[in-house]
Amino acid sequence: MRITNSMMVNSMMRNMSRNMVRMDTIQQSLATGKKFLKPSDDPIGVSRSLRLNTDVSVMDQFKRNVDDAMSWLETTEKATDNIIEVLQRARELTLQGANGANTVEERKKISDEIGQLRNQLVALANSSYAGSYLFSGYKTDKPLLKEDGTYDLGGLKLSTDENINYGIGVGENLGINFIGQRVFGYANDGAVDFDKSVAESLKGRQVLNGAFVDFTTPINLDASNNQFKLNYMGTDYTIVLNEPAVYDGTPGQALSDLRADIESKLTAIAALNGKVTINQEGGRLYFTSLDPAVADNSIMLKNDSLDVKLLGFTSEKKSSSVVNSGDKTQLIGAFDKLIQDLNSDNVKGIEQALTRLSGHINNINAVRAELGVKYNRLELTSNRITDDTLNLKALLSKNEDADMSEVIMNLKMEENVYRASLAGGARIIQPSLVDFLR
Amino acid sequence: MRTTFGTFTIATSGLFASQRSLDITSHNISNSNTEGYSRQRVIQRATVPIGGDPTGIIGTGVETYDILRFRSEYLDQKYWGQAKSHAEWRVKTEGLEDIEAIFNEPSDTGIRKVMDEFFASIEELTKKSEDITNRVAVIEKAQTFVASINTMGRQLIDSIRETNFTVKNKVYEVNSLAEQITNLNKQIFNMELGGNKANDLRDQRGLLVDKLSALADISVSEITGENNSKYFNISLGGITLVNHYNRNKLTVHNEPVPGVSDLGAGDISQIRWEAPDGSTLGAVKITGGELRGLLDVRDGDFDKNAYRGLPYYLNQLNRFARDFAREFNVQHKAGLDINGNQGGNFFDEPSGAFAENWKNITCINFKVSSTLRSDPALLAAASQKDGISNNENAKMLVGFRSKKDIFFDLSGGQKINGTPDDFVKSFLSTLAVDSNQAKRMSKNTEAIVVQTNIKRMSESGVSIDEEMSNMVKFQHSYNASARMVTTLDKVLDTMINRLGLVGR
Repeated sequence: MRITNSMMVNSMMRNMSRNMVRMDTIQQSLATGKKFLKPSDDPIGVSRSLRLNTDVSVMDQFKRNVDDAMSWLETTEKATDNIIEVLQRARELTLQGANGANTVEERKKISDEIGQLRNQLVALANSSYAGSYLFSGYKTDKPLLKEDGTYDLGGLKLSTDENINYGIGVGENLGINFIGQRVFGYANDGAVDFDKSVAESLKGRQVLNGAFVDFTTPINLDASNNQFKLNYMGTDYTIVLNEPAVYDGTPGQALSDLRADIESKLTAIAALNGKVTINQEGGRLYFTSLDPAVADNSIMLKNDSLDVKLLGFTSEKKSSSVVNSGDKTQLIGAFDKLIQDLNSDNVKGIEQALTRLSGHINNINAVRAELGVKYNRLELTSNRITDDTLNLKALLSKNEDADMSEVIMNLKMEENVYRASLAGGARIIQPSLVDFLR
Repeated sequence: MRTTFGTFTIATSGLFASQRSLDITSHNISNSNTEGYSRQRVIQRATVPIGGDPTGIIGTGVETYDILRFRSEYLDQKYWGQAKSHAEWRVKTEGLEDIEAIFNEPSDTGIRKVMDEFFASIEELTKKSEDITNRVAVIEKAQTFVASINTMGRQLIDSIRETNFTVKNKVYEVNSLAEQITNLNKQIFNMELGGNKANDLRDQRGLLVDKLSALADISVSEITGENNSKYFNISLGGITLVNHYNRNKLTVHNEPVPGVSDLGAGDISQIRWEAPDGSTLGAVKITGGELRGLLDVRDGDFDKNAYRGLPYYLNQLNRFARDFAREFNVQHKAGLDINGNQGGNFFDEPSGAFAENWKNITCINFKVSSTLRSDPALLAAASQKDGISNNENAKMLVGFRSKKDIFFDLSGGQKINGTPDDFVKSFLSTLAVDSNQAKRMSKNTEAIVVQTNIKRMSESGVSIDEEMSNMVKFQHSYNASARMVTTLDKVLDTMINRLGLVGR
């Protein structure tokens, strides 16, 4: 091939400019520390880098959420610890008060201290974290209790499903608050006895088990009161029971027989078959959802031709234990009753108070246990998030960070090539025949 | 019979031939750096000999009869065929690199980052939804998010306008080149009537065609007519652009393009043929060259134009803004504000061409609702009345980020699958792959063009060494011819002045 001078100059220029382009790329990754600067430099790497960056930022947010949730739980834990201390002191005092040998003045003193403890409990019920009341559900701007021991909530209701959820992972939420009635209980009819059903209500058992029937009085069914409506997932289903029938507790007419009857009617309705069942526990029948996605408390009972109360069913409302403003608190109620009994020297009442207090102590210990479990879970989550973040950052770095030693080496190599081509070019271009003609 | 002074004629013809060759050598050296120049060589031959002499046929000297231009028509055609694809891909690479710069990923100012921050602020809100600072933070982050979408949209629009301007300029450039070529055609034709080649003018014309071949996909032909006269023709998209002395003109026809012009890009110039009376004729078919690249970058919406250029990414951004705003509004309106009232629109849904207001949202008019901006209490974080810490709707808004059924197709009919992140990632990946491919194509086609050009230069380029040795060669032959004249002079001197003096 015939080679001319300008061809040599051109190809030298072209090669050197290519060399410069490569040097520029390497310089850029040296200056930025990144393997790529534009999507087109590495389409897959950039797309992965976008995802990893988002993941890291999401993890950072989860970490902040977990930290906040932990502080909230710590404050709640402190409040419940104090409540336990109050209750234990009250129990000691009650034991003292139950001693028949006490004088009127001594019992007065005890009653005064119990009164102080009661006020302390009200204050504890209104504990707050960063300006938010701990036990008031979504109404964090409203105190839980009034001075008189009834629910305050600024005139509003408090329902057990008012869980403030923090996101602590992808699709992973943790309710950080404990609802007031869970800790302090409620006594609609003013009952302060800590019996089994109330204990269940304290644990939010009603919520878990949905609509229920208490078998208290003999139930007489006839054509006028043999049916009721069950609301499931927004649809009413009419349940017609066998009649005439009397359920008075005698064999063949026991609560279990009523249960069997209702169950057979439930299974007869296709939409409810396998979805809703009825369970018996002690003297109570519960409607229970079999579908894990449907909460028990979404099952509602409605009366139609009969007053459901005749059947013993809770009346027409969700069976979730909604507390209204002005409802009495079981715990404070127990204290009030105790003070009353101490003042009136009712030894039997004082002794009953001991059982009630033990019941409440057990309940609050259960709350503390749950707190502990949640806190533990948060600690584990926090560790996991830290690990995940580290892993993600390592991946991110591997994906987009340039290996400095490699970059510097490449730069040196390109520099050498550049020098060589400059030197070679200078030698090749310079002489032509002109230089040798005299 | 030998003539006395015949040898003089032979020697002078040698002098003249050497001189002519030296002229051309000098011309070559002078033009060694002229763009498009092809080296020339004098072609010489022995003159017609004289017969009838008993010695044999006697030579009568040398004559120069042509000046040859070293140029391969085959390589020219090859180059003109290849230049267009390199130019096209080079322009596309530049266009797509611009779009990459507009989206600015990976960086701390791209969509990903502002979206991350927007959702992080909502997540913060879920923890204390009654806190006014949290609410203001969400609205501010939303503003940043919206503003970066707006800016990107405007930059894409600006880019369309600039590309359109370049298209117009390139059309004028084609016209100007065609005119210059026509003028050269006239000169070349007139000069070549005598039968000789107008070498230097042909070089100039070749250079103009080189330039034209990078602008659009032309086909070039030179037809030999009667008397060996040459007619030079260029056609563009199957229609004659240059026909010997005549040419057709291109013009631009400005018309609005829906979805582009109404967003502020102005009228788009379509390339048309122009009739001699100045009226506009049909569209010009352009399948290659810089113009094709520019048109693809300017008009590529992956629908009417099969390429993914500026309008495609503008549409993607429009869809992103439109569907994001719509679904986010639906979720926001499902919630309650701090006063327990039903939430309003989070993003504005302007009225416009479409009856459904959300369909009127574009990346340009995408905005946070002004009522919400003036009163952060209207942010609907709650799901039910009673309770300012109810964060359920805010949680749903956080969950929005992983929602997979947000986006519709372009017309707003069919849903497509993917989260907001997937959507952004998907069109950025498309951009990355397209840009990467354009770069690679540009590099590959460049290598081919360079290869052909090297071959062309190998054939036509001036080599100084070669010219120098020719110079020496011709100089020597000149010297020798001159010495011949001197020698003949002496011979004649002897013959005329000294011969026949014996008897004096």
